[in-house]
Amino acid sequence: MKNKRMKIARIECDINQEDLAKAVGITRQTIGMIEAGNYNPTLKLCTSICKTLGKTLNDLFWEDDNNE
Amino acid sequence: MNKKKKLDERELMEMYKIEHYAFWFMFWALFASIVIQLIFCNSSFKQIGGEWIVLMISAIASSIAYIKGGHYDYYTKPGIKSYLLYSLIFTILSDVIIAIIFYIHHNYYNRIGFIITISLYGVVIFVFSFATLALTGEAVKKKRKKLEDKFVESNKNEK
Repeated sequence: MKNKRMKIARIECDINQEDLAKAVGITRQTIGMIEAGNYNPTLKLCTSICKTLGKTLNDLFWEDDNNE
Repeated sequence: MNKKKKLDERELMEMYKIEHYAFWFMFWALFASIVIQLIFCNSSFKQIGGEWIVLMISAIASSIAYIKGGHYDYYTKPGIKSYLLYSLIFTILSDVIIAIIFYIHHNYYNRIGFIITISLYGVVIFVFSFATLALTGEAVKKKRKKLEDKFVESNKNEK
């Protein structure tokens, strides 16, 4: 499942995939794969993405009926 | 030289996956090559010794690592049922291989003698594999209990 909320949050912060990847210490491909729903990140990585984008885990990664 | 890994967690997981498949492919290919040499080339232990040692080292090393981590098997839990099941499968497979080797490379004029020899091998293999599985399985159980206790203890400490 695509993670559109993460992509929107990144665009809102005016950060491209490359810069977000650098900020959290991973590759750009991994960011792309998380946004495309092809990779399930660890909690540690989720937390550092959230911190960089100024969001909470609920905002970016929690899936309920409304968000799906 | 900087030895720090240059991979992120996704790349690392993918590398582990590749190495996992490569390891098991090499393990079973090595096993198959030993069996083929024994069946078709009538090889002596001297000829297959190197391969056998490598196979045993990797088998023993991974078993020790499994026990240390408290892991047993993908599909079963340690217990009499799984020990019996796996030792039976192992006994049947090894007995079939031994029977083929004996049938091809040794002249057995007495069919009953042949069956008795193979059956005796089967009994020895079954007892040995059951004992090995029981020992390792019980060690895994102990390790799991230890990990469980450690976790409960750390929870108590937090309180």
